[in-house]
Amino acid sequence: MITIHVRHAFKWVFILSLFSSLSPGCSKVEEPETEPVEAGSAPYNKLITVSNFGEALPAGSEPLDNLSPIYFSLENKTAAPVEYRKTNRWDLSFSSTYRSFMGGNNGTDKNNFGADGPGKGGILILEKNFDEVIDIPADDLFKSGSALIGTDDAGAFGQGLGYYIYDFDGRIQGDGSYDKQHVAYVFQSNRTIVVRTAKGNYAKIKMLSIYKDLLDPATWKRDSPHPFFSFQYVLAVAGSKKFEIK
Amino acid sequence: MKMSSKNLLFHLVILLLAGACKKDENPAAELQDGKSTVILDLAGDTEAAMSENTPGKVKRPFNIFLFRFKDQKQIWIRNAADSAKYLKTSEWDIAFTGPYNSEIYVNDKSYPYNPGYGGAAESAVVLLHQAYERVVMAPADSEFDNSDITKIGWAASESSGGWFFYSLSSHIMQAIPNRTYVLRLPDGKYAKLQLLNAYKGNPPSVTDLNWPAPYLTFRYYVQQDGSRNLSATD
Repeated sequence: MITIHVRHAFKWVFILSLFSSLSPGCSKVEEPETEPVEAGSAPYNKLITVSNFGEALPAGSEPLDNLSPIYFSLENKTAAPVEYRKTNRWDLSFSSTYRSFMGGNNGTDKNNFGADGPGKGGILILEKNFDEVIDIPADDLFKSGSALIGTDDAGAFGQGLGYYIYDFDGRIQGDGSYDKQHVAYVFQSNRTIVVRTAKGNYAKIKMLSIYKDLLDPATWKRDSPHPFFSFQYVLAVAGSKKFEIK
Repeated sequence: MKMSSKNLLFHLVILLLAGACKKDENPAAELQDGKSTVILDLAGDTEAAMSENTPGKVKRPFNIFLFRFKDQKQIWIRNAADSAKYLKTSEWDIAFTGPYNSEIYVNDKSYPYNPGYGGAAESAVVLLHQAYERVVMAPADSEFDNSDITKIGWAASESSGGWFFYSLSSHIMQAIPNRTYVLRLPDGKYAKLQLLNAYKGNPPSVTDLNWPAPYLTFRYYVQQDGSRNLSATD
């Protein structure tokens, strides 16, 4: 009886060690590829476009594997290395399935990747077009966990209101053919993510695609390189009531 | 450092499994608290599968079924006629939808992806991070009104509202401990619900991908007097 359970345990540990062994492979890409960026270098009230943020998944990854998170600083418009996890030098994490679930940086939430750090961020999603999101939501509406916003209930494995439809069978947005199965359709309209940054400023985000160099949904296929996140955002300084593009 | 955390994890897993082992001897009895209704191994759509080459199953969408708390009636939705007859009625409380009937909706007319959309019922769900037996009081109505839990299904992370984790690499669908769902039912009554398993026999963990599923194990308690009191022990 006990041996059986020990075997189970070994399997679990084995799986977990497999998981952790994937992490070193990612460290190369988790380093920022650019030169260190000066803090706060992304301007307020300007439309900022990010193309293809991300890195290839480890070989053999399955869609539902829990992958190591990657981090992005909205305030600096750059990737942040995992070593910065407990700092306020990142604002967004991308984790879980396809690294497609987003969260903010909040040190007070034990389920946040920034737990015990100085981050005072949060995240929420609205069923609105990017341009229509003018008023900055009240602070108590932001959620503090990680991996909070991803699949929409319109598709498979939905987690409430999300920024993409996971088309498992390829029949929601596609024709059901092999290439259109398992495609993640980002809502390019009618969804806006709002983030409170680690330092307490705000951003609204329009997600565009998780497929590298492909912004047109018609071109998205199951094997298109992913997840590489393209999105646009606007920053507003702490204390602002409205998002503005000047 | 890495080794020691692994060792710790190893011992934790042993402890967890050892604890589960004791309960294993009579899972139904272990779940009985005097007042709650325990449903053990309710067969879902056992003939459907997500992918080809699943022994004894065919790849097709899972038929959903509805469930009524008061008499444990299971209502299958297999075609348009079934949908028309049942979905928009108040004859059901919860619907088991999605892969392996693992995604549960509480009957509600206002949410487009709820099977009861456009129907007669209004409800809400709040997740409490507490063990089922420790949930003795329904939260304030404002918490139900502000809840963004649309369904109770897969959890992408600890921060998600779902009842289980799942990984294709481990082939394990695992209920998350200390997740109790408090429901505000269409008739205004409060209830608590715990989802325990989709594998036959309510095993503490599964390593065999082909373990018989879905066989739903869950328990619930509806407070009939309309109060918030959800203590289900005498």
